[in-house]
Amino acid sequence: MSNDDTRPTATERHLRDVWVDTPPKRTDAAFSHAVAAGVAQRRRRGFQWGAGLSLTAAAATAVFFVVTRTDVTVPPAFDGPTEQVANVVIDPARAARDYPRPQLAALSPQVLQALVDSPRAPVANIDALDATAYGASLLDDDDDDTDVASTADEDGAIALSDAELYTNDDTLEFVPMDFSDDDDASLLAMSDLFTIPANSPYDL
Amino acid sequence: MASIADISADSSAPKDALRPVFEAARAGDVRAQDALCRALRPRLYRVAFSYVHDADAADDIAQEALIRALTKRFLFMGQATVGGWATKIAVNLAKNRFRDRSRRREILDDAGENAHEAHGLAPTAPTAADVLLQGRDRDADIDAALRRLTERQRDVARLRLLGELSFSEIGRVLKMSEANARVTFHQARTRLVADLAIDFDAEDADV
Repeated sequence: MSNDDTRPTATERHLRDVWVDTPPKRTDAAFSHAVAAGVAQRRRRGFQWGAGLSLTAAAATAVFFVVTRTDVTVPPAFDGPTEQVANVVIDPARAARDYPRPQLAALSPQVLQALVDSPRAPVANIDALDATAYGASLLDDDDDDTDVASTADEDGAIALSDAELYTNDDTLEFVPMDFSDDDDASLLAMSDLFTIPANSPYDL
Repeated sequence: MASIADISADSSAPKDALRPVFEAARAGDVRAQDALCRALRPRLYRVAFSYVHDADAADDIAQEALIRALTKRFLFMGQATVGGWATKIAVNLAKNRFRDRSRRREILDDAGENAHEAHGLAPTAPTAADVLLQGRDRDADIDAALRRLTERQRDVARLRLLGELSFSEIGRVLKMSEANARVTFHQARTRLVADLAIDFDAEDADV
C-alpha cells in the first residue's frame, strides 16, 4: 500500500484470508436485523448516567453527580432481572453544599445500586453519598448490564482519573480519555448530561 | 476551552466517508443502519475472529460493537473514523470475551472431570488450551507465523490487515506515531510473507 490508503494489496488480502479463514454464518440481512433489534432494545431502556467534576489547575475542587434513568422495564429477553427504575437526579447544588470543596466525593457502586433499588429515590438520597469512595470507579466490570453501573463495559469503562473536563459556556463536558483499560485515543463526551446554571457554585 | 463543535470541526480529524452514514443511522435511519452494518461487519468480524477463533462468537462481537456504537449516549467526536472507533470497541469486546472464556475454562479445568459431570457438562468439553490448539490446527502455519511476531507487530498487523485501519488511525488506537505504525506494519508484513512463503506480489512493490 502506498501512502495511507487502506485498500489491501493482493498479498495483504492473502494474509488476511489465511489469518481469518472462516466466514460468518449469518447473512448480511440477518446480521443487520439483529443489530437493528439490539439498537431498538437498548434505546427502549433509556438509560443514562453521567458524572462531572470541576477541576482547577491545582486540584480537584468540587464534584457533583447526576444519575438519570427514565422509567424503564427491561425487556424479558434481556438477560437479567427486570427492573423498574424511576428518575433519579442528584442535585448538584445540594452536592455542593454537602460536599464542600475541596472534597471530591464519588458515588459508590453500592449507593448507585441503592438508588436504583429505590423506585422513587428522593434527592435526599444524596446523604448516602459515600465521600470515602474518592476515586472509586462508578462502574463495575461484570458486563451484565443489570445494574446502574452497567456502562462499565468495553467501550464505556470510565474512571474519573481518566477524565478531562472541558467547559463551554454553561455546559460541562465530561470527556473520558479511555474506552477501557486499553489505550485508546478516541474521545467521547456526555455533554448533554450536564448543564450548569450561571449562578451555580460550580461556575468555572 | 474546546467545545464539541470546535473539536468536531477539527481540520486534523480524519476524513471519514462513513461519518454521514453513521450519523443518519444514529438518528434512526434504518437504511443507513443497514448500510453501516454491511460496511463495517467484515472488518469487525475479522478482528474479533482473530482473537476468539470462533465464527459465532466473532459475529456476536461484531453485532454488539455496532449496537454499542449506535446506542451509547456518548458523542462520537470525530477524533477517529467511525470504522476505527467501532473496531476498537470490537477489539475490547473480543479481548474480554477471550479472557472471560479462558478464566471459565481454567476454573472448570481446576475442578476436574467430576465437577464437569456435576454441572452437566461433557467430560470432554474443550479446555482453554484445547481452544488454542484448535486454532493452531486450523492453520498451523499462520498461527506459528503470527506467534513469531512481536505483540506490537501483531496488533498493528491485526488492525491494518483485518481492521483495514489507516496508519494514522492505528497510531491513534495504539498510541504510537503514524510513521512508527507504518514501519511496524512493514516489518510484520515482511516477516509474515517470508514465513508463509507467499509469492511477493508485484503490486506490493510500492509499500
